[in-house]
Amino acid sequence: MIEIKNLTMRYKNGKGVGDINISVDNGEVKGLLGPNGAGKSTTMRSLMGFLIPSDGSLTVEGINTIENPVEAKKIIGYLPGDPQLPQNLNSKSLFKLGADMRGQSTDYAMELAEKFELEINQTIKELSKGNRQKVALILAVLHKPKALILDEPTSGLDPFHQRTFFEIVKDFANDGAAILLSSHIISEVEKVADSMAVLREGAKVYDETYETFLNKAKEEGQDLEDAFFTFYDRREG
Amino acid sequence: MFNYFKYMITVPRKFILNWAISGGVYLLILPLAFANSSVESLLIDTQREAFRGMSENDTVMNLLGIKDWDNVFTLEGMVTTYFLVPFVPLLIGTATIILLNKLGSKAEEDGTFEFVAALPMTRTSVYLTQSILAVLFGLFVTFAWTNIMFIPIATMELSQTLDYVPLMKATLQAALAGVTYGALGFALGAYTGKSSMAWAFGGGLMAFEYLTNSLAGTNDFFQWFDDNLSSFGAYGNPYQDGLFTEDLLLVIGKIVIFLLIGFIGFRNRSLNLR
Repeated sequence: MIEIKNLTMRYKNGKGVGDINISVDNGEVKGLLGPNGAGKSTTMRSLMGFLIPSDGSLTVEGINTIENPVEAKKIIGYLPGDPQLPQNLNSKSLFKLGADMRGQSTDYAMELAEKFELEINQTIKELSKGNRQKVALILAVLHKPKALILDEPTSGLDPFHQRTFFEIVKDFANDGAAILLSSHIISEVEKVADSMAVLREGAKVYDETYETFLNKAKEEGQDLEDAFFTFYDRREG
Repeated sequence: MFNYFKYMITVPRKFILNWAISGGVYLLILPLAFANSSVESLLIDTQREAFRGMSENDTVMNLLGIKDWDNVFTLEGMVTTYFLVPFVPLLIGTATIILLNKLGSKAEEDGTFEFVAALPMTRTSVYLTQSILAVLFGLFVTFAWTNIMFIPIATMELSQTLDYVPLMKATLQAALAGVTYGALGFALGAYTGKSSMAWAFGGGLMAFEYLTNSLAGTNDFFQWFDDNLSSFGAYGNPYQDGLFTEDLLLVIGKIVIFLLIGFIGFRNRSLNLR
């Protein structure tokens, strides 16, 4: 279970997030939505202990990620919003390094590489943006974590491999992992999420099941995308 | 920690090998100049005559680290003054800042550090491993240079020669001087998360100490600084006089203090991710 309680993290320019509360149960996929600069990455980076919050409690499976980062990161799989990997290594070596550093084998990484049709002997600089994203995704999950924190995970992936990715996410959820997945596209979240939280200018403005939001949209005779934009406009007003 | 260290030497392996090997190969010119009397005459004697006017200019002599003009054009003089001071500390300081920036503060700025930060390691482990690399890299590259340079000295008939053990002592003292600047640059990069700070402080101290060493005779403060605090000043003449504990303690103490400062900042700050 992922629990974010009263998270406040401010940058020097005053931006950031304030008093965020989000929880993701085991087996649940929660979409974290919001436009650029809403605070999605800040929330996720705080959860990973990369940013030091001024207030709040952040736990994964009951382990405080700031106070006990080693134990927490053993059970977390994290995909950055803009994954940058060492350019001169090939995917195979990176998987080996990633697995070694976690005391794991590369078997699952190789299985996923096959699913994603990834050429593992090419160096990172030789790969397209989409293929680099696949490498980063595999690195995030190769240790079969109990919690996944995925920042805009389908960025750069073609529709075929997006489908593969969503299948992997569903498999993890079925195995009981808690999954927090950020996006600024609701139709992407729709494909996989059970619930959604929406951030706006560093504050949480909505947190319900996906079903609830969908029913409300239907009542108002709107499709999902329109309902989301209407919701957002209302909040702005 | 071992796997992270492996990662840190795997990612920039070309950089590390380039610095270690190409520098050493280039410096083979120093002993090889003494391999043949005609080459020696051409390279050494003509240069000595051409630059003799320089020996009357104390400032230029100081900037080049030359204390004894008559000794400059000997193999020992070239290696233990010209090369080991001032060039080794300047080069090793610069290379260490570049390398540790690639793996530390610059990696934070360009995002490659996010992959490392997600691994199950404490900040202490990350910093300690980077610190060990900073020190070992400076020592490894300098010893690689002098050992490659020693190959013709040990295997060929040269008109002049060097003793191995005193040369290694001089290498150690010069390498540690370079590591002090690299350590300060790395530490301030880690403290702030900004690679520009690594250059400002590491490069800044290197430039300042180089100048105080060069201009020590012209100013009491520079003289005092050079005698008591400068890593260039701590070098002395280890080839002839051996290593002095106080000189070693000065450079090692500076390295430890700089690394501790960086650790205090790195442990408690948010990463400077883009």
